[in-house]
Amino acid sequence: MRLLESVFEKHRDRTVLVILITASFALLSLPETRQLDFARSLLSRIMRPAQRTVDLISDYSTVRAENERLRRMIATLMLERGRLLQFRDERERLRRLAEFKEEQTLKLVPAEVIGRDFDRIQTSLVIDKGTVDGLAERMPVFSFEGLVGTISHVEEKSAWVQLLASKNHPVSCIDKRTRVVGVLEWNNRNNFDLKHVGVVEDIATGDTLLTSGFGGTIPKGFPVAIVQRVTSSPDALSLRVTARSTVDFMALEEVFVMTAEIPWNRSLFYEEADTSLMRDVIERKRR
Amino acid sequence: MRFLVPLLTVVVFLGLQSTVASKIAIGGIAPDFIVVCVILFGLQRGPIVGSLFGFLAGFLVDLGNPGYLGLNALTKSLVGYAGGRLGSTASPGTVVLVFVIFLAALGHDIVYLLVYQWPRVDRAFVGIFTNALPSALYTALAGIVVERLLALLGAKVVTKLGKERQ
Repeated sequence: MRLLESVFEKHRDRTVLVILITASFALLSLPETRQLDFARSLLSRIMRPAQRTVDLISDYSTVRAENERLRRMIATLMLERGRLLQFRDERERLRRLAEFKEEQTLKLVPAEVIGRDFDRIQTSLVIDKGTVDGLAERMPVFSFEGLVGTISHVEEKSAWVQLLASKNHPVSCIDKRTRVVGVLEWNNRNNFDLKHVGVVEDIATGDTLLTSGFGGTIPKGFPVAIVQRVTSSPDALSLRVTARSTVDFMALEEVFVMTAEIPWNRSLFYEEADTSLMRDVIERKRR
Repeated sequence: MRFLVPLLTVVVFLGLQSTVASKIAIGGIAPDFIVVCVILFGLQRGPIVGSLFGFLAGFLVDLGNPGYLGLNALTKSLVGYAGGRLGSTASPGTVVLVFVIFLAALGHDIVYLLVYQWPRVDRAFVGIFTNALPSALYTALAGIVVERLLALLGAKVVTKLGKERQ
């Protein structure tokens, strides 16, 4: 013991170094999982406040610049909003003068796909929303990419969606570019035929087909398919137009059911949510 | 207060390393401000405090990257110890200080790479030439800037302390 004490007294610095090196190697020899657990528990106790402070300092300049940019954006948006409100009123006045139908906006209910056809050719799917959510038969169903189909059967907490990709589900469509109207019918997989298009009509490969709104069930202007090929049919009176759906029916996981249409100038997101957001911004500025 | 100053110093230099180092990196080579901090502390306070301080700083660095927990603690204890030994024998001027920091950073990286790559010593040698050498040079230059800044702020840094310790 005395020998150790005298060695420590004589070579105090080296003894400390040896102890530290031993401790380092002891830490290094710990199994990796224990190293991680040990480090994580220590980090959360010691380093978290320090890291937060460092992050705060480093974020400060970024936040300042972002704040400046957002202020500018708010100013632009507020001016733009003022102009849009004027345009809205003017447009409504003109529409009333021309006796146009009042334009509608959509009320969409998000739903999750919970089941599919057992058949190899899938023509329908089951979603997790039903009558309790306000769903009814013939309501149109959309995905982010476009029209998916319509509700064919509703239960309390689920509903069946008949996909566009099924034989008995034709949809009236309009060419986005030339406003040519036809009836889109499923052919195979994601491929469709646009029927009743006269040979003199202007329709070309790459054109987008939108819902026409005819019939009143499906609203106007939603993408359905893109024209793939245009050839003349054997009767020489009409065109044979093949198109591919914008929706991947096999990969659908979430859809939206359109349960109602609301006049767009009376819609919630325009009148209440938007106005309250602006009110918040103005109040914060005042403070 | 005795323990608070080293702890705060480490935290400040860790912050410097995590925010500034990556932004001033040239071709992926960044200075190691923690090594600068440890070597300056060692030169100032001697081998015992230097190695303890190095261990603490290295351990905190290891906590952020715990795959090799203890590796930075080991290398930085050695740097602190070496700094302490050098500080007791010499009173470094600026040129000497650049050289001392360069050697400390290089030695640190050599030990680090050898332990990290063990038993693939060949890989460690490649790392020494491609990474450790330019990094040590950059660290030495950054170290002088830090030392000068600290001196401007009124901190009693190396150049005075060499004399004080003698």
